[in-house]
Amino acid sequence: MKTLKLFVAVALVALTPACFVARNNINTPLDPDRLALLVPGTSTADDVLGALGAPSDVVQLGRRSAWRYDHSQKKSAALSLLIVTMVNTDAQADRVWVFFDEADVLTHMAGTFEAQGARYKLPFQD
Amino acid sequence: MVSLIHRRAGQLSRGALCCALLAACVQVSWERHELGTPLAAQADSELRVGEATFDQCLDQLGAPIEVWELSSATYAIAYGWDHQRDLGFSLSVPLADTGGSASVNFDDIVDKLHGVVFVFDRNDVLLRKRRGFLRDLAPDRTRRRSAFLDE
Repeated sequence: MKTLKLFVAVALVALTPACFVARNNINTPLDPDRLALLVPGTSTADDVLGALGAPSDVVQLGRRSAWRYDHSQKKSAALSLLIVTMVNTDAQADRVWVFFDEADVLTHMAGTFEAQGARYKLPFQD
Repeated sequence: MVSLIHRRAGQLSRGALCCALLAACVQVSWERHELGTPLAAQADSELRVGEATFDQCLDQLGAPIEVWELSSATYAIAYGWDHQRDLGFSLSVPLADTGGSASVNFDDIVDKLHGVVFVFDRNDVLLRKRRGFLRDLAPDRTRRRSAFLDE
């Protein structure tokens, strides 16, 4: 009985602090409905600023320019069992690029919205 | 029956204790890191060099992760993802005599930093596309300018 108690105690001590989950967000989620307000060929840089706010990045393309908006979400999960440690991180992002001509009129735009797809899981889980 | 259970429990306890003590110098790690969603090979197969336009590329593939200005009036966009699986084993042995420690790492690291780069000309027509490790494809780019200077 004494041995059994020792085994249970060791197992509890080993397993109790063995796992964690964490979430890390960068910027606020992007709203696809706000992107739908913009019309290539008509909307201007001012319209984009009004709809989406300040961009995360600006890239100069000759006389044209491109702005990037992004939001990312990373979910991490880990399990540590004595000498074995399992860690999984899943990072997904929302991203919007808008492209302007030299007169600051919107010419192209594209959005990808995947940040909500980030999941807590362990390495052996699909 | 009871003595058998006690014997097994004793063995398990000793095993667990050994593992707990070994944890100070031996570690086995299994890690997976995923960033973004891989672009399937078929996804960009319809985008033909000399025919496809920038609009078609954005429509089919969505927002890129990077946009670069290249030399000679061309520009590039990149789609990328980073999926890594690491299986590692580390052993650390303290060497009191030398005041230091020896450690060995046997890692089977599969680096999956992949991506696709599309290069367009000034008329927004696809000039070339390359698939592979983004770190190998990226050196084509020039340094990003902070601002356009009108002449």
